[in-house]
Amino acid sequence: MNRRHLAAMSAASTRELLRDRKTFFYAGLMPFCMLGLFLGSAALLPAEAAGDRIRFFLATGLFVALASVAFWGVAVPLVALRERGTLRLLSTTPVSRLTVLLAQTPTRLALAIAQAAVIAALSAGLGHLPTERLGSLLVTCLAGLALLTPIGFVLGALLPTAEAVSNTLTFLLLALLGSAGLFLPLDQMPGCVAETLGVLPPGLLGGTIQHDLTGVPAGHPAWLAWLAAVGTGLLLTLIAVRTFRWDDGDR
Amino acid sequence: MTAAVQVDGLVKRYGAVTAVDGLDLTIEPGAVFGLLGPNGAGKTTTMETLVGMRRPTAGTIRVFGHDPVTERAAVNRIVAVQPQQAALFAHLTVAETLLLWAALYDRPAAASDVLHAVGLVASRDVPVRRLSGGQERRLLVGTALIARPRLLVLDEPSLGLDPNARADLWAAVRDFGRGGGTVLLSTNSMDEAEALCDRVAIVAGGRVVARGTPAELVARHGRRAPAEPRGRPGLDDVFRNLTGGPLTERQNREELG
Repeated sequence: MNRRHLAAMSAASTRELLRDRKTFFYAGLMPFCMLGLFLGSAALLPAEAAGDRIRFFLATGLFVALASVAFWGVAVPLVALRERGTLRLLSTTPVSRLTVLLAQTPTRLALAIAQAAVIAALSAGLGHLPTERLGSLLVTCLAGLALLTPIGFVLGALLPTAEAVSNTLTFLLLALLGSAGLFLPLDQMPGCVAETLGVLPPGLLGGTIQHDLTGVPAGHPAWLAWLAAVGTGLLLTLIAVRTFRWDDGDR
Repeated sequence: MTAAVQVDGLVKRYGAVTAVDGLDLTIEPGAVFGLLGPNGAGKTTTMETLVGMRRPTAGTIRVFGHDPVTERAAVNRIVAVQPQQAALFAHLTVAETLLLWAALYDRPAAASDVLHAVGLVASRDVPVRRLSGGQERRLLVGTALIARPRLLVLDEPSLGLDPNARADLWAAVRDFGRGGGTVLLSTNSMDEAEALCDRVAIVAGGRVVARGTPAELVARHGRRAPAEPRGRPGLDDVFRNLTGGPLTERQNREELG
């Protein structure tokens, strides 16, 4: 891969994300709106139940933040570029498919880390996050992005319109939250469902996020969740590069 | 010497529709070559197939000896394209767009030179989404020029441009040609073809029906019917005689927006 191409495309992608208010809102600000709603609803509960619910929603908020950056920050812009014909034009230049995909990463990474830092600060302020877990939380966030961003790559590679992406992402986010045990806790699901979801990459990631962010015990070591997330992410990236289309026209 | 473009028996079908039907073409290095033809004649499909944007159904294509199907990366390094339909990054400025494209090539032209060439100096800090259609088309040509390619492919480059912008564009294409570059452009403007092209091919029904210098074609096919207005025959007459469909001044104006 050509580093000059990657640097130039990354800079362009950063400018596009920061200047496109709609995409920036969905990728950067919407997770905080959702977190605010979650925490607001938890605050209405009796004090003894509110504590647990707030810890749960903090983890949900972090997962939503990572997923929003990966989905709305990656898939939607990619499909919009294809719809407008920009990718078609780029296909006539020496830039590669992998470069186009990876160029989306640096800004999204910075945005996700910034969001995670805010949520981590909130958790620390509530007394759920001691400093010694910060390192592990950072790795978990990176692993989460390694899993979720390639899902954005695949959707960006395959879906035909920004509208289709938007509809798909809303459903997918709910499905992933469910399978990560961050919509309904896994221990409140039927046993076989919880066991199955608990060993899948989103389930492993969800458990590790809850542990690292709020101290809820996870049923597995963190490294297992990291490994599963990175491995799945690499596989999905490979699929995205293979299936990536420059345009919708006949080839 | 290797031809800049060598196309033999090119066929391109979209389902039951044959867009290009056994087209042959040779373009020598350093030529400014015009592809003329009525709408739907297969010009755009030919150009897009030639640069690897579409796969041919049959036939062979070589661009400076490279096959655009199997050696697309090599073709992309030496060919720059201004497609008829494409859009640039909406939130980048004109200057940022040119600098981005410059970074994609090994020996790009200076962005300031290209800004002058396409007449966008005053708009250098304007975001692409705020450009008019004509300005965006000029910027598209600019992204092709900044690559300093061996082959510049322009698909109806002056469509929608005002006369001043068109004159700037013609000057830029002439400069590129004088620098030794090869140009393939499609156009429905016979003025443009006569002003810019060393050689032209007229395409109808997906085939080349005539080729030569503009003067040769006028000499061969430029006769006028007795009822038509008197005057020196031009490529308009050639076009009309060979494609069977008159390109009236009104249609020409519509094509040019």
